[in-house]
Amino acid sequence: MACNKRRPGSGCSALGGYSRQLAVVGGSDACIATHPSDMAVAMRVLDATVEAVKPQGATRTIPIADFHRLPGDTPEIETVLEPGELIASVTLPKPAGGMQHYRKVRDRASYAFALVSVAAIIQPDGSGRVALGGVAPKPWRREDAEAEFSRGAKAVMAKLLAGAKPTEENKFKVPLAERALAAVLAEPRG
Amino acid sequence: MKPFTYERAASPAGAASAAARRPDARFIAGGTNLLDLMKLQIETPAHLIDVNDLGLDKIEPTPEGGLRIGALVRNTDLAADARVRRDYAVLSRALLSGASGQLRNRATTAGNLL
Amino acid sequence: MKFDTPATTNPIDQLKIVGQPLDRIDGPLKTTGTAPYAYERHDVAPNAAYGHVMGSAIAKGRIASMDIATAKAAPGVLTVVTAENAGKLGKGEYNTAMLLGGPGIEHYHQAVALVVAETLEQARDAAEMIKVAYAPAKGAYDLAASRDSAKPSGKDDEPADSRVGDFDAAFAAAPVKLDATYTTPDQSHAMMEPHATIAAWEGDKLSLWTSNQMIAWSVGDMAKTLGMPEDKIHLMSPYIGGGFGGKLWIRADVVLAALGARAAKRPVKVALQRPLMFNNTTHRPATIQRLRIGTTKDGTITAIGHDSWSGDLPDGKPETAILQTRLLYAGANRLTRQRLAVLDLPEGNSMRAPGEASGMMALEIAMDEMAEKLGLDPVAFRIRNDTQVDPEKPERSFSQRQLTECLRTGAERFGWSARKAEPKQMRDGRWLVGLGMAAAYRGSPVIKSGARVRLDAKGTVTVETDMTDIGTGSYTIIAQTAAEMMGVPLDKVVVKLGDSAFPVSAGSGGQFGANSATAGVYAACVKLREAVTAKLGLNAADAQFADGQVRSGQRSIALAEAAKGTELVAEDAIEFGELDKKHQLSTFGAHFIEVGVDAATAEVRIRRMLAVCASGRILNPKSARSQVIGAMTMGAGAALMEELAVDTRHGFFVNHDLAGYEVPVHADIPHQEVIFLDETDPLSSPMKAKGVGELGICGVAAAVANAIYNATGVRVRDYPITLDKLLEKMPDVG
Repeated sequence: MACNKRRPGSGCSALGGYSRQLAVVGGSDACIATHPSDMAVAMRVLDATVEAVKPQGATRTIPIADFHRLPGDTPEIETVLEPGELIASVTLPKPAGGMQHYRKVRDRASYAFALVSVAAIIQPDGSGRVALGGVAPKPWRREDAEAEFSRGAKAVMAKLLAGAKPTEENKFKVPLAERALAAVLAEPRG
Repeated sequence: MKPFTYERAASPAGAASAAARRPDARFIAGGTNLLDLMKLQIETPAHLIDVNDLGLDKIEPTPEGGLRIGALVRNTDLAADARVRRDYAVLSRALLSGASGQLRNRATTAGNLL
Repeated sequence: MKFDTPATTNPIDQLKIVGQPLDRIDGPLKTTGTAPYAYERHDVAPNAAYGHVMGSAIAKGRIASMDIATAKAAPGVLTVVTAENAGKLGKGEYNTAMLLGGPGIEHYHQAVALVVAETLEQARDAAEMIKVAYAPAKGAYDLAASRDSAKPSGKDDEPADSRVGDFDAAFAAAPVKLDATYTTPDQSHAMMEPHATIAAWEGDKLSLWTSNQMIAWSVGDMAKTLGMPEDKIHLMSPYIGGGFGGKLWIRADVVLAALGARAAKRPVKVALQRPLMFNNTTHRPATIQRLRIGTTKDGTITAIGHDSWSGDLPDGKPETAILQTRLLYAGANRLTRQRLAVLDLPEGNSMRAPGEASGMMALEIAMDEMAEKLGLDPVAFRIRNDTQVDPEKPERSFSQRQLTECLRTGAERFGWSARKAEPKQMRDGRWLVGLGMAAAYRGSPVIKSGARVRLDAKGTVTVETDMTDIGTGSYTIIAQTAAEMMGVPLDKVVVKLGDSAFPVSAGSGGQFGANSATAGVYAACVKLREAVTAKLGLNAADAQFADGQVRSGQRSIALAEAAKGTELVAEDAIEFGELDKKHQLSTFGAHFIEVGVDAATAEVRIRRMLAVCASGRILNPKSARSQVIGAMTMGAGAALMEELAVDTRHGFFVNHDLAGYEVPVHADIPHQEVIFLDETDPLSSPMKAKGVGELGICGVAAAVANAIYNATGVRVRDYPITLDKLLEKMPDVG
């Protein structure tokens, strides 16, 4: 079957086809694959940085926010790493504190990719950070959405998933993400 | 699966320069994705550079009060690290919600970002 | 041995070994990884070459051209088999589509080529080099869209339509009624071991080491497919890593292995690649089912109607989802109709409890909905409508029917009285909790089954039959049967199964295997006992076989004495007369389920499962329990996650691997309990047993659905019940 990520230019069978698992935001007309990692979603909410080594030995530091690319017209290029560039380490900044949640929603209880996952750090004052998995081609976070925490999950999601273009099959992910975040916010903060 | 050649790199820079010499090469760490993709011929590298021996398997504190996680730290080890569990619980929880115990034993930090 | 009068007391009734919860005699082989499965028979074919199957990339149409030259020239390649070079091929009686397609293509991933090479990697690589130009044709891939074109479909004993009384009038007049439509999706067997075969030719003789449930069917169909005599085919399938109906017949692996071995002039092994299995092999077809039930105000059913639609390839079969509705509940006016549409999806066919598994998914939600309308407890509503006779033919009674006992026992043991009739009344932290139940029903057919038993001078009894053990415990219950009959301990019995050189048995399917095959062994043992007493000069009428001795009158002689000099061999088959026509042989049960539904995300997690089964004598409570909990797990999958997603544009199942087609994992099944009611059924066989492996799945999914309704107040009529179908109606969070 056609897949622009795996065979560039071959088309996309998922667009107009079976898309229940796929991206609702950040996709393109070429690709609506999701980034499958759970770890990367947590790294994103923790503001990790990626240290990479280039072939000539030079190193550089890439904020995780910039590490993954959106598919655009070239879904086969998934990160900003250059050919031959090697990841050496990932650095976490000093601890953010707060209550840290990872809420992974899936059809079966284990051994499945997320339909939606919510990585969140909620501070005692109600401020917080949130990144989503299962909804986009990369761990999905928008810092401007986090200003809305005081107004609740709905307000956060309105910004975080602004511009979402779900399919008929995966449109449930939008309310699901909102409800999952609401459940996280309803938990005790300390 | 296409035939491929294989080498074990000895240093990060050595691995990167080996990759620069061979545009048809791929790094291999845990192999949990790459081998599947090679069997299906979605990935068809002619050369594999094994990066498991680069010494990138440590978790160390940084001067800024954070943690540096080596690219080759396995998911299982990262999730179980006492510092991660205490200070970065979201990471530990995310790791443990993914894949299976067997896969997490092989899967690496860098590989999971890709 | 003809079985045409009810069983009386016989040596099995001693229950010294039969009926005991014994460990599987093949267990150590399985747990040490030394049971020889088909693909691993390096011992019989050390020089086997590797075959890789290429599946069609279109669902319907023709191969316009096919270029295999590059593949043939690739490193290590020995041969490439296609329909063009394979010679004339027939089609097996049990196959709907050809197992090697071309030039016509009947379904997606129909095999179009086998590449044989020295290594698996070389074969797989070369297969990528085959260039196929297809001329696709328009096909029908959507059951809902094809529903109106569906035609009546039935057979002599299962007519398309059945009518009793005047359903339409009775339904119209009923003061309480339900008219609801339910859907079940296409499902895959998803067994652990893929279809796999090693084939080797010696002159015109073909040896096949394969994974197959029905040896004799498959020898016959291989002979038909290859156009060769059956007696030149030796088919062996002693160990099977799961079948669930997917291995009732030959599939592409065995045909292509045989063709590849002939062309390569050496043994060839073929395992269907996992991504091929979902579209290349058979599946349980999707259904649309309309249930209409009318009752009096007090809940007595006066009209019950069940229409079922399914689809299959041309000349295919319907999913017989109406079966249980003809027999499970009373009601004077009845109507069932079965309709079959032509679809160009892969071949639909049997999967664990074909018919009832799907039918109960619909009927038992409908019963729950009716109970609610009536304000009756769902258990009480079912008991009120119990029948002890075939509701279509009241002169026919059930051989045994303990449905109400199953329901009452289950309700008691599960704590059903704690259930609140009103939904959404129970909460446990973040979980909305609900209880649900359903009846279980599955027919228990009997099939002629043969066996041969040998007694040697060491007193060892060896059983040979082509019966198969698909993980069910056949080895063990057959050993128990022979040990009980011959009066020897279990370790003096050797069981050899799954070989076409052995007498033809019932095989494994339709939950007829355990009862029929052990009855065949019983028959052969009766003959062996006669041979033993004759040889020892003992009176057969009063001879007792126990403790390795044969006793008659004052005499007691070691059993082994009878085989001194020459081995004693006896062979017989059990043949069933009219008892199963005069009576209805069925198994009954009840499922009780507790679910939690996450109040925020609508994730459904099962918390407890209980099954109560009344299914004749339980030959081995341990292996029977394993069968039932496995079936319950499969039912949980059907309820919550299993669905082959159809791409209705291209006509194929999209999620064709085990990441995309989800089945339950351990974490989904926290607690299961199984209760077997004490029952013997003298009308079923001398074993007085019936099937149980399929009963266990029937009704589970509906019980889960009913529990979800009880937890959430959301009635979902389309399986699987995934969270997206509940989410909109869940309570606000926070």
